[in-house]
This record gives sequence, C-alpha cells and structure tokens, in this order.
Amino acid sequence: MTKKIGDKKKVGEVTSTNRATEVEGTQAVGNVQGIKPTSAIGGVTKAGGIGKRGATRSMTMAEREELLRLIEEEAEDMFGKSASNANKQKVVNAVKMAVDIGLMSAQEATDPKSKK
Amino acid sequence: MQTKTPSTVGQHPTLPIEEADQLALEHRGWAESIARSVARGWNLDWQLDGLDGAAMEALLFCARRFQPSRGVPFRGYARKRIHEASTEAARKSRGWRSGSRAEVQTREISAELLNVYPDLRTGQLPLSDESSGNDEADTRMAVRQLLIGATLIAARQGLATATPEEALDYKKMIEVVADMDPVHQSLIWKIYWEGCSLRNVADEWETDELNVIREHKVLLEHLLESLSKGKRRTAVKVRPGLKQVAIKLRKKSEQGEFRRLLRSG
Repeated sequence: MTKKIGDKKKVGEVTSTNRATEVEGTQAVGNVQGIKPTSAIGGVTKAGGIGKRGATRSMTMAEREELLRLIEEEAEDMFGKSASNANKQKVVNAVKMAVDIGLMSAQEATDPKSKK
Repeated sequence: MQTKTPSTVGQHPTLPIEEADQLALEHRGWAESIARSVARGWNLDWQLDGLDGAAMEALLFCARRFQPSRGVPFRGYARKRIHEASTEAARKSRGWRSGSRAEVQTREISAELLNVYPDLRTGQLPLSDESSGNDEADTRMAVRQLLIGATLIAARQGLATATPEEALDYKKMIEVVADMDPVHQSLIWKIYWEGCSLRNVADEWETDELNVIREHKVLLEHLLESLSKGKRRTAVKVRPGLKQVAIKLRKKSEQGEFRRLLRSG
C-alpha cells in the first residue's frame, strides 16, 4: 500500500534552541617536545644523475670518467662515418674539455696543495 | 678609500670589510680548486698561467659584494664568477696558444661552449626544463646538444682555415641550417656566430625567453637528426610564440643568414 503525500505530517514550529553555555577555558599548552634528530642522509646520487642540474657535490674520478665515456659514445652514434675523423675528434675533445673544466673532482675540492 | 662599514644595496647590506676579507680567506682553497680544474681541463699551469691570481681577485670581489640576507649561499653566488675569471685569465695566458693547431682550436671551441651553456661552469649539464624522467636519457640528450653546439662553433671558427675534408663537413652542416626558416637561421646565427645568449635574443625579439630556449632545443634536435641520418628532413615549424618575429624577418630578408653565407661561397 502506498502512502498518500498528504499523509505526511507537516513540520510544526521550530522549538527554541538551547543557548550555548559559556566557552570552557582552554587548557594550557603542554610541554614542547625536544627536536628529534633527523634520519641519516640517504645514499649518494647514482652515477647517471651526476652533472645534472642540482648536483651539489664533487664527482668522483670514476663518475667523471663515466661522463666522458658517454660523450664518446654519443659522438660515435651522432657522427658515425659522416664526419671527418679530425673534425669529429676536435668536437668531441672540445665538449669533454668544456664539461671537465666545470667539474671539481672530490680530490681537487679537498686537496689545496695538488698542482695543475 | 675603502669604507669599514657595510654598504647597502636596496634592503640587503654587504658584509663589513673585515668580515668580507675573512670570508674570502675561508674560501681561498675552494677558489683555487676552481682555477686548478680549469687549468687541468685545458692543460695549463694554474699558477704560471695566472689563473690563481684571477680566481683570488674574483673571490675577493664576490666576498665584498656578497649580501647574506638574500639567502643565497656564498659558494652558489661566487662559483660562476670565479670560474669566468679563471677562464678569462686562461684565454689571455701564454699557454693558451701552445700546442698543435687542433689543440688550440679545441680549446677555443670549448671556451665558446661555456659561454653558450653557462651552466657548465658550475658542473651542470644543459638539461631541458621538460625532463623525460629518465636520468640517463636526459644526460645523453644534454650531451648530444653540446656536441651539436660544438659542431656549429667549430664550423664558424674553422670556415676560413679548414682543411678540404673539414670544409666539406662544415658545408654539410651549413646547408642543413640554410634550409631552415629565416627565423631559425637567425636564432642559430645570433647564438653561434654572434655569441649572443638565449636571453639576449629573447629580449631583442621582445618575446618570452622560454620560446627561444625551446625553439633552440628543437633546432638542435633537428640538426642532430639530419646530420646523424645523413638525409634532409622537413624544416621545423615556427612555434606560435615566434610567428610575429618570423613574419618580420621574412619581410626584411627572404633568405636568412646561412643561405646568404652559402651563396657568398
């Protein structure tokens, strides 16, 4: 059996709401906890990430060698046999030099007495 | 006469002179290591060729202008300047011209690369602002960009003195650029032939720097593809942000700088 809409009871008047009682006083702030030590620094960046934006530490010799090897490899892919050997070598060496002189090896950064 | 009190630029005071000198003293070994790395890369002597003095002068200059309240670490602020001073001293040194013709040319190309890609001075590769998410792929892309940049610089430097074999390589490269839209030719010309920075080009063209940076990257990729595969590819379309400049340039000069260079022989 369905109920007729008219059967619904009408909403009567809104009864008065209780007045809010006084705000309870806040509790005093408890003791501030001492600063916790941070966790140890994670592992160092992998070799592939070196030399990129944001690199903030000196490179190891092995990482530097890896980057220089990558330059050779890319040049071989790029030029193949299309460029003369002398020209290719000049370009590859120039890129290596430009990358290399911007890098400070860990040894250079820490050993002020090493020369050249 | 030097003042003992700090000077103020805007809201950011510099250090008192004694503190600035102390700061320079503390970073002396670090500045020397920059000079040494420049000397090592170019096979020079960091002391005999005067890189040590240049690095120290730049260090002192930076220490006295350093404004700690800007929140930039001192080394971050000073490294590029000390590197620039060291490379400038290297280029003026007696050792710069020593070695074979190829060695001297190689040094020249690398020095110009540092101007086109100043991030190299702080040990950073010129990575795109749109990373692929793959570290090695991004590094390889940056290396390729440097190789193409170096090839363009080599072409410009070597045009007058190239051996027949080299001249053939350079001609091939210039032909690919000459097939580009005049606005693209102009971009390459300004950067690699006139030594402008990407920012300078953007200012001159009154456009957002990102338009120029991204178009430059696309052009290098196009050159890379064309040179490595050895076949001509369809010219790169001009991005919307550079259309107005392209229209202006086409009105002014129909052919572009590299086309003119080829015609002049």
